[in-house]
Formats: sequence, structure tokens, C-alpha cells
Amino acid sequence: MHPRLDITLYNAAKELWPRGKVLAPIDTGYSGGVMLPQQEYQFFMIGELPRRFWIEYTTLAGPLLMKTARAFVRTGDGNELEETRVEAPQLGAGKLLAGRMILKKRGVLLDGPTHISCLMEPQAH
Amino acid sequence: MHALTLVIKNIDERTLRELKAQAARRGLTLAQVFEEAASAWLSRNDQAAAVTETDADNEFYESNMAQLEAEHSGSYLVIASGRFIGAYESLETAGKAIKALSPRPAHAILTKAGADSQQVGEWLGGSLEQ
Repeated sequence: MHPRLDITLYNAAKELWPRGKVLAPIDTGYSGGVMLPQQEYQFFMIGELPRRFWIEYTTLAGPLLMKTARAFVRTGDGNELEETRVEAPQLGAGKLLAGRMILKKRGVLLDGPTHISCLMEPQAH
Repeated sequence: MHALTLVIKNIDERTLRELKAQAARRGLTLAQVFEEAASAWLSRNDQAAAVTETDADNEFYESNMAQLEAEHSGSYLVIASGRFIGAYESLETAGKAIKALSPRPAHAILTKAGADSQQVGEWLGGSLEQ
């Protein structure tokens, strides 16, 4: 079972992704932002990077080129929209994943025994 | 969602028989099969349009990259329908420009001149999937 993270995505024109808030599986082995299935990626193609700047991933099966687009993400119930990258393999189906570009900006608690993942809020003292 | 009744005339009898058999094997109604087929067909057309536009936008960018980067360094460049739309100071204004395009393109290039570059990442394949 995956740990998952609540995310809401917007394309480069800040239009809400029709799927709304989704629970994206967390993948700490993926250094990118949000990976999407091919069909879902189309919504974000109005903010795509030139092909020469698409991200090439090193994988256990060899290099993999990902189509890459600018997007915005909101996590949990937060109000802040931050810029991120959404990606889909140039060849292949793709899948929904939240990678380290998303994780490194926030605290996420993974509780294995209870299968719960929580966003940690900074607390003022 | 409001469901409508659709009557199809002159469909090939053998095709319909095979369709019914396949639907039964997958536990679907004929209506579900037609909906699935219609979605796939519509999606295929969208994808084809996007691929064509992607090629046109990238060809324009590659042909004009040096000039665009020199003239608009640090700005967000928007290319759509195979032409230069404009250079914008922020991602927000570039996004608004894309949103205002009519007709709405299926694809646009949005790049920050002088800042975007080829990136290399790693995907070690579902480290938490087990």
C-alpha cells in the first residue's frame, strides 16, 4: 500500500485540473514533481517546456524521457499555490505519482504500521 | 448525468454480434461499450491535434531560439499555433496570455528564456510500492 499525499493541480493558466483534489502515491525514488498518466497530462500541455528541455530520467531500466510542463500545485487544505512540474513519459502509459520536488518543500510523516501519511504543519511557539 | 436513448441504423450485423459477445465477456452493457468507444475516439482526435501543434510550436522555437533568448532574456516566452505570442515578466502574466488565446490551443510552449535547460532526474521505480 502506498503512502499518499493530497494534491490539487492547476495548469499554467491556473485552471483547475478537472479531477480536483487527488490522493497521489508518494514515490521517494522519483526526483520530479508530479507524474501523470498520458491522458491526464494533456490538460497541462498549454504550459509545456520545449522538447529540448524535457527531463531525462535515469531508471533501473535505462534512460527515460518525460514530457514536461509547468503547473501549479496545492497540497492538503493549504491555500498556497506553488509552481511545479508535471510530467508523463514520452513513450508509455505513465502513472500518478508525487515525487521529491513536492516532498522536499514540506514535512510528511509516514506511519508504516497504521498505513497513514500526514502533512506536518509548522507550529509557532 | 442525464442518460439518453440512441438508435443506430444500418450497423453491420456481424460487428454488432461480436460487440455483444465481447461486452458480455467483460460484463458490460452495450451502452457502456459505446460510451467507452466514443471516449476513446474523442480522445484520439484531441491527441492528434495536440501532437501536430506540439510539432509546430517546437519547430518555431528551434528555428528562433537564439533570437528569442537574446531579445527576451529572463522573460517567460509563449509560443502557440506555431508562432510567437509574446514575452512576459512573470509566470502569472504568461498564464493569463495563454488563457486569453482564442481559439484555445491544445498545446503551447512556455519557457523562461535563459533559465530553462535540459534537466536530468532519477526514477528508481516505486521505492515505496511494496
